[in-house]
Amino acid sequence: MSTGTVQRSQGSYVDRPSSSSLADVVEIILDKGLVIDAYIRVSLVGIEILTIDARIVIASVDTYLRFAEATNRLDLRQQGGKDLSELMGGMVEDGSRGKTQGAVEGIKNALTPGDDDDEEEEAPRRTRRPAKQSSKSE
Amino acid sequence: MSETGTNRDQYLYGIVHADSEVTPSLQGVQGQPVRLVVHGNVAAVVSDMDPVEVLGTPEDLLGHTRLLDTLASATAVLPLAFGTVLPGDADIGAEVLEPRESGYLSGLQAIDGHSQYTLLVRFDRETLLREIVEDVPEAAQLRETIAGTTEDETRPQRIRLGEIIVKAFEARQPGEAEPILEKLRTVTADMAVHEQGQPDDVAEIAVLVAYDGAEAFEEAVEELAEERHPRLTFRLVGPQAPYDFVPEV
Repeated sequence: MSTGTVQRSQGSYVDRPSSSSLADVVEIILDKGLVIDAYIRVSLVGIEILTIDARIVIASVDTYLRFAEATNRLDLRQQGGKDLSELMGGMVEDGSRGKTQGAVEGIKNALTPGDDDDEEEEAPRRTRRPAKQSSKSE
Repeated sequence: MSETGTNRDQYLYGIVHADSEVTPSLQGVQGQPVRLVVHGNVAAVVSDMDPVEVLGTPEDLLGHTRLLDTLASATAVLPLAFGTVLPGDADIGAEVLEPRESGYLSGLQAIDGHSQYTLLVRFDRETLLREIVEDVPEAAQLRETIAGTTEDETRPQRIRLGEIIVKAFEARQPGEAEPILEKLRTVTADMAVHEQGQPDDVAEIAVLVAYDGAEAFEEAVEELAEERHPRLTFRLVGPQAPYDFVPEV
């Protein structure tokens, strides 16, 4: 047993990135740390765009539509146990049949903010108020 | 030509004890070598800024973080906010370190011997969406209604379905998050719970863990994740510099 070292065995249920990804860093630390008021904060080139792209308001129509679409693309027939045709009262087959293959992909896309040309698969999920930080430069 | 006598702007990473050491090979933002500016009992970790390049790219943010995380693995460091830059002619010792020395020292004392980790716990979207469609008859009906339609054709139904889904996520969140926080409390020195960012977030928690408590902490996280698999997913980032545990100075 190693001390202070993480077991990164395949058996782990925890996702342990070996180094922080940009998405992690944006999400976790972008607005953190001591602020020395008198001194300039840089404008965030690139990062700002990335963050704004991921701006989320939980109770918004946009969020609702994304989750509705993810639910739409869900392939309930893959699930064992329940009789889903009963549950759905005769669900519309052709609505989901064509989407069976890409169900997970579809959810991922539907739940990923912004357009399909995300540079990061794990888009940052929160806005760290870059605008506020920039304004401190004055 | 003195070591600190350049006219270049200075990038500041963090505050450390005056007797800390930085490895000369350590590189920070823009690939610049890092050095200490000592004043009294504290020191600032700094590097020269490139006079031409624009600061603020994703690479700069990663450079900032990696340098701080590396430093923090060996020494107590209070991270400064990303993008803290001083003009080349500024006297860092007199202007930054001296006025707040006691605040920095007590802040360093509080985090000495500890690392931060950040734990991100989320619902597995597919599992939860299935669960909600099964639990809520209206959701199942709406799902049927929108199947095979475009967003324009069934916009109100979609909005209603999304609202049900989001509310159902939110209703489940506290019951999932509380026991996780409770268990983490027993293996951490301090915790900071971040605000919720997405409907399917269960919790995003920054924790402060003693070096010699890292193993117990990681085991606890592993147990939590195993118990909740596959309904919840766990992502653990760290050890990191104590970004969430800097004092107000």
